Amino acid sequence: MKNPVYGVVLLMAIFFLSTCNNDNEKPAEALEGDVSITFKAGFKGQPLLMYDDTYDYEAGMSLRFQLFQFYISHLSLISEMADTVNGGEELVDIALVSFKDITSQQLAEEGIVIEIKDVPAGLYKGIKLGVGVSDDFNMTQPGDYAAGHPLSDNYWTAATGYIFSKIEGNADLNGDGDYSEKLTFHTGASQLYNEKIFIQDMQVSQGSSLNLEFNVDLYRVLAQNSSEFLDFRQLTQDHTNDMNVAGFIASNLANALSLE
Amino acid sequence: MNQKIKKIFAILSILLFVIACGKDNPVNGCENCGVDDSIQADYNPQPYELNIPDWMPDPSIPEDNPITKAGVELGRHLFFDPILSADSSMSCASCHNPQLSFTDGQAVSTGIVGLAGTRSSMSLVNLAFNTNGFFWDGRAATLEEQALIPVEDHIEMDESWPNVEKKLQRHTNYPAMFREAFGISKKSEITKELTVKAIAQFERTLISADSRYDRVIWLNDGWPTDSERRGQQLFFFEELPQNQQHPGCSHCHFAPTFTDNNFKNNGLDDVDDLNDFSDLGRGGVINNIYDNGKFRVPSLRNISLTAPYMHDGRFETLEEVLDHYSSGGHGVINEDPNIQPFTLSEQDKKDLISFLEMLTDTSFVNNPDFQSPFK
Repeated sequence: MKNPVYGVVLLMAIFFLSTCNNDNEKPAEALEGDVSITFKAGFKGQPLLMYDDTYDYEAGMSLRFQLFQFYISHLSLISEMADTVNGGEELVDIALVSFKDITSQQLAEEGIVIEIKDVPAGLYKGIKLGVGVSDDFNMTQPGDYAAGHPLSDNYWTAATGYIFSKIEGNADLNGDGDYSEKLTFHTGASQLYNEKIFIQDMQVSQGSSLNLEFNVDLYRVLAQNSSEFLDFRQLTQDHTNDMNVAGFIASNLANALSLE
Repeated sequence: MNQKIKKIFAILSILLFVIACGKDNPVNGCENCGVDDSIQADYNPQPYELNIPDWMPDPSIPEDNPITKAGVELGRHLFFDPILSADSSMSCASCHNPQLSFTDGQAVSTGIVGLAGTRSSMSLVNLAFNTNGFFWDGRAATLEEQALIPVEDHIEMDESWPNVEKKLQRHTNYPAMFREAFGISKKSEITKELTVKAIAQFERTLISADSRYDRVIWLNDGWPTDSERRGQQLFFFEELPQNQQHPGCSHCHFAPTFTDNNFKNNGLDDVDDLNDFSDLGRGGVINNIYDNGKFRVPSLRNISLTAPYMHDGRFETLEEVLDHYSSGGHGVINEDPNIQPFTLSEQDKKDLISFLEMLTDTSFVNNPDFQSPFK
């Protein structure tokens, strides 16, 4: 460089520009908190325990259970600023909520917990979730996922879709204490996917955890009232072969889900 | 007479010479070698690409044990080498024969000095897709943990790991192979942890996804026979009319892995109390009474090669297995509710077995990469 003044000016310009760039690139400190979502299952207000515990049902029948599980899709907080329920923060894309290992009061009280870290802090006006496997996921198959992923399991190969929910157990049909009737009810089909929206203010604050608790009453999944219920004297299994039965369970399941 | 003796002597001499010159003697070693000697070999690990078609899940590979070509080759040698057993009579392959989809054809496995085990040898197929523990009862969380156990089991190999480490450190070939696989510098760095890592790497390569079922269903290569198609419809029951009885196989054995890797009581034993199972299975591991009598759901891939069946090998044929399931179990409290009685005609049985035979993968059992390196 022949003129040193030009060199100094150039260096200062580079320094100035780089300083400005650094200022621009410095990220605003994100305010984030945690969200803890708990799912608890019951039966007519009692905690739902697998295996030993029995539950009075309709028409003198009594039930006990070995498995109750269902998928949830696209669980999202609805932003306070959003004009519709579609604006918000997705916390969970897909999860399997399974009560199969709930065999004690303590485990029932603990429930199934999903922890989500680093959720943008702020006020939200509600939460929404899909009960079942949403279409975007239901078009996939276990081979699309890593072993251990929730969608690497519960797949109907011939029907090319996921099993959205499973209820398995035993029935005593006439109150004689013999639970020899085996029950298996599995639902899964695109039209059985239901979206639930719960509108209530909720605050995610930096450095603290927002605790949300969902309850699902299995009685309400099997029965709408004492005259409309799955009658296990007539039917002990369905794998979405009868869409009336599967639809009854799927819509009941969505309705049986409540947010504390 | 003298001529005869000379001939026999000559033949024996030739035999002795041939045996002595046999390649890759797996138990050769060097008693006086120093274990602190440096190992002369290159360390240039190359990733091993698993051959997994896109209809299969993504494998589960632990971050601390990536699969390398040298690791797999070392693992293959260790898998087939009786050096792991106390009397050099048993290798992993003694109970896991590639030609039988890595089972042994026995009801319960025979271990060292002919001791009988208590459970049937599990097929080592598609282990890379299992994230729910290993063994019939899931007592080993990972393949690496699994491989630690048989060596010190008194019925299986009855060896001690310190002794195995010593044998491997003094071996003529293994130190270099360990260096190539894991980059160790000295023989003394050969440990049980590295040994089982290598075995696990080899086992994760055992992918079976080239059966006739895979070709027909996923690659649209050919057509199922009428019998196979009928069997397939019975197996994957979800499209059957509601009132049609079915075996419900795919409740637990759904494609593409043909297992859900869960633990179930599949109705084998009639007990009054859950403590009465002669083998507690999963319950014996996690001490939950409701898991007593539960065992892993095995994959049905290559099922026609893995008789006898069940955790204790009680059924010799697939026909017996189907007869058991059609009986609907015993109603024990933790029996899987999907075990329901159903009517199965002789034709249904033939059709189901035809379908199950579609899952035989001869390219898997004959894969040269899965055979003994000592032959």
